[in-house]
Formats: sequence, structure tokens, C-alpha cells
Amino acid sequence: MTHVTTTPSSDGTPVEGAAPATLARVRGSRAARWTWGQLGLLLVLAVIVLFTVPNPSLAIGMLIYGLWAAGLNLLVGYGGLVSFGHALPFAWGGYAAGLVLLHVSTSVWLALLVAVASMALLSTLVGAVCLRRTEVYFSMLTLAFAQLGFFIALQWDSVTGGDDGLAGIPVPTLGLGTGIELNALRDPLTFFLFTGVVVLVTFAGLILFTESPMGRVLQAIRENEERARGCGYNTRLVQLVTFVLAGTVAGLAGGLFAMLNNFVGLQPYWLLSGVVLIMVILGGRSSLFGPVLGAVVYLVLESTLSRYYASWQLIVGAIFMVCVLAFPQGLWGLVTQTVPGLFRRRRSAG
Amino acid sequence: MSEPILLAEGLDRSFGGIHAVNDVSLEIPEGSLHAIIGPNGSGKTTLFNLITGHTRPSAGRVRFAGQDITGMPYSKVARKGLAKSYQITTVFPLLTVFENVRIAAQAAEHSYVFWRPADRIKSVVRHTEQVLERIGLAHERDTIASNLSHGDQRRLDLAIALATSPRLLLLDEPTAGMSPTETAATVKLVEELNADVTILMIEHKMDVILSIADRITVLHQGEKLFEGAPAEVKSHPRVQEVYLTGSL
Repeated sequence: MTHVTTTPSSDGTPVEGAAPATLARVRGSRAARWTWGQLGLLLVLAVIVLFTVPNPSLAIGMLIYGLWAAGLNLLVGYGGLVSFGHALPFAWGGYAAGLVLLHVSTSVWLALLVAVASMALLSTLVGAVCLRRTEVYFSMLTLAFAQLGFFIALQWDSVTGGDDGLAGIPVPTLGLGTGIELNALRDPLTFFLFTGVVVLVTFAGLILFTESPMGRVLQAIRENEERARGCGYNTRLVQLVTFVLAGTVAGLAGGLFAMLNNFVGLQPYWLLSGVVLIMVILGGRSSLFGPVLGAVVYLVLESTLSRYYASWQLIVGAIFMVCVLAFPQGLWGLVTQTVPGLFRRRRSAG
Repeated sequence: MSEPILLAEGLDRSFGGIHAVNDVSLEIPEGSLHAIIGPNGSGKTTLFNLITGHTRPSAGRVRFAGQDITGMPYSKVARKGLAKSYQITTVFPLLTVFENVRIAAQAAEHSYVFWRPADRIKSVVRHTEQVLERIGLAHERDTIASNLSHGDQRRLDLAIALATSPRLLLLDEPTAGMSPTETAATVKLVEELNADVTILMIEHKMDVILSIADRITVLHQGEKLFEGAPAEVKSHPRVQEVYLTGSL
């Protein structure tokens, strides 16, 4: 028997005994009905992107942004912690991978490993500070760190290239004796497939996390932190692990993005905190797949509209506002709710 | 005689000149059902908060299961086996009833596992089902908690506390806002639970208390006015004066 009577109060109506929704502690809507099925959805979406998006660089970008947004949604949707500074790990990953490729080795693996490992470390430090506060204060702290990173990147010319960024990043090689290069210009298909595999594997890891005991505690903390403490959980620890995970995924995405463009700089890397958040909200924060869909839709809008209007962001902004007001559960939430039955969770008999 | 499961000595706490709890000591032997009564503002909830670590006492000590837990953070106290159900219903509103209880049930052993799906951990799932069965919420397992009736939400609150397999259960007015039928059912439930777990409860409804408690502490203006068996409390003149008659 499933009771699906009332919709979750995404309009902020306080539920008895719960704090009213605030900017940062948005209540995620009901737990995603689909768990592992999301992996199939992502695969289908990737195939559609591969065959319909004419610009290979844009198609690969969709995968990268999608992964980044899905990782952010661990914090936003599952954890109720809105980061305003998720450009920081993305840019960091980009610079880390770029610097390795420029100065150390052209190995894809080493570059991504450095991006991910250094980001995990940095996230731990940043997260430990930001998570001393919750709600909007948490958001402001993440924003502050992202701003700090931006200015360091701007000022520290000798390492980051300052305003010019790091140009001429060499084409990375896959190694393993194959001689395969990840060259988005000459061989976009290989790059797409490589990125697709990385994204799918990481995405599977994210699903596992949200379904694991720790990921479930994260959602319980979003619902009621005091009660989670009362069950004996160190709630800060769970949130910190999530913060690190989301940061690491962003670092990975940033590293891939640097390889895609053979360039890292202030633009666009540091300016995307808002964009990635829009992708999450647009796609829907009650699942991991929603943000990926949001990323794809956003990039489709951007690439089409920017061809015709210089101020395309006005239109995207208007569309975003309409979306938030009309279906706060996001595009994917809208699909799952308007096609009932199709997406109902299959319960094990019992 | 073994040490009582909970021992509070000379607990003291004032908030800006108001003495909320003044030199209160408690001794709760394992297996007992101890009640705290007192008019509004007599310091009952503050006393609870001093025990659980939500509020730091200005003086006094709390020992739980042979360990000093004074000033320890609540999550740590909870891990040691002291669970609390709340005066204002406190559940995970947008999770299902089953998930509410499962979260608590996994706390003991599988708290921070992240490499396997939670639903596959059979022992936790079984324990959850047992608790739901016992509390009488099994038929609501897939309901979103915030859609439950008030009485059922209170029971879910209790189920969450129970699912952590505590040694001591603190109940802060478990029948608050319940209808007479719901109250009767909850009283019966509390009595049954007491077979396995020590219970310390705050309650307003006198008839409830007198029928099930082993021992009662009466608080008045932050101080311990009297402590004794239900029959003694009932006949004690000062208690009648402050609590049972007029002053409420």
C-alpha cells in the first residue's frame, strides 16, 4: 500500500515539529523513487546527447556539467545544505589537472588523480569551517571561500596565469600502451566515451552513497538534525563526508573540463557557482538524475539562445523563474509526478 | 545492590537569575518506571535536558550506566544507550514511517557504512519491522511520517527512540495532545515497554502516572518537593496543595 496523498510542502508550509523551510535548508521532496534505475536513465540520456547534439564539445560538456550538478545535489537535495560556492572545487580541479598536464605528465590518470585527491583534502578543510554553521550562514561561508579562491587565482600569476589563465594545456594521453589521446577536436568520440564511462561510474558511486546507511542518515539530518543526534549520530561528520564527496566529484568534473578545453582560467570556471545551482534546481533536487537533466536542458537553452540574442541570460533567467514557481520539484520531479505509476518504486514483496 | 542505571546528584541550573532546577538528585534503578510530575514551569523539561546533555548544569553530576556523562554532547549520550522521545513530536517528516525507524535501528551497528545499500542490511530491516510491530505502526510502514495522525506521530516518535535499543528511555509527556483512547493505548504500551527497558517519564496526566509508575518525583519551582511511591504521593498534603488541587 502506498500513500501518495499530499505533496511535500515545497512551498515552505511548516510541518508540525519541523523548522520552516529556509533558503539553505530547503526540504528535498520525497526520496527519489528510482535508485539504480537512474543509472539507466543517465545512459539513455548520454546516448541521446551523443546522437542529437551536433557540437561534440557541447555534448561532452553536458556530461561533465551533469556530473558536477549531480554531486552538488548530494549537498543541496539530500543534505539540505545549499552551497553558493561550488565553483571552488570545480575550478580547483581544473587548475590541478591543468598544472599536472603542463608541468608533470600528460597522463589522464595522474591529472585526474591529483585533481581528485587534492580536492578531497581541500574540501575537508573548507567543509570543516563552513559546516560550523548551517542554513544561510553555511551558504555565505561557501560563497566566501569561492570568492577567496577567485582572487587567489587572479593574483597568483606565476602559478595560475592570473587573468590569462593556463593556456596551451597539452592533450592528455590515456597511456596503458594504447597511445590513445583525449583530443576533443580531432577525436571527439573517444573523448565522449571516456567521459561517459567516468561519469557513469562516478554516478553509480553517488547512487550507492545515497542508498547506504550513511547517505540515509544524511537525509534524516536534513529532515531533523536534532532527532538524528538523538539516534546517536555525529551529524557534522556525516555532513562533512558529504561535503568532501560533493567537492571531490566537482574536482573530477573540473579536471575533465580542463582537458576538454585545454584551458583553465578565471572564466568560466570561477563564475559558475550560480549556474550549477540553477542546473540542480531546474532539473529537480529529489534525485541524482534530475540535476543531470537540468544541466543538459540548461546547456541546450544556452547554446540555442545565445546564437540569437546577446542577452540570452535574460531569457534563461525568466525560464528559470517560471520553472521554480510552477514546479519547484524541478523538471524531473514534474515528469515523475505527472506520469504516476510509471515511476513508482517497486517494493520487494512482503 | 548494583549501581542505579541513572544517578543524578545535586543538579543545578539557573537562567539569568531564575533557578530553573535547584539541587535535584535522582536515582533510577534498572528496570523501574520513574515519573516526574510538577506544575508548568517547575523545571521538568530542564531537568531532562540536564540529563541528556542539551543543557549544561551549573552544578551537579550525572552518571549513566556507571559512567560520568555530565556535559557530554547528546549524540554521545545517545550512543551509550540513553534515548529520548520528545514533548513536541520530533520525527523525520518527509521520510516514510519505515525509514524513520530504520534510521534509528541502524545507529547501533551500521551508522556510517557507505559501501552497501541500507535496505540490504537484513538485521536492521528485521529489527525495524519488530519495532513497528510492537508499537503498532506496521500497517503504516510506507506512509510519509508527516501524513500520520497526531497520535500516530507520537507513537512514531516513541518507536524511533525504542529502535536504538536503549537501556534508559526518557519520555517527555508521551500522551500530550492525545485523545483518551490514544492515551490509554500509549499507557499500556509504556507499561509493556517497561518490561525490557528502564523508563523515566514526565507526565501531566495524574491518573496515567498513578496507575503505572513505580516511583514519583514531584518538582515544584525547580526543587524536589517530594519523592515516593504513587500512593504516598497521592496522600502527601504538600503535593496535594501544589499540584493536585487548585494551583494548576
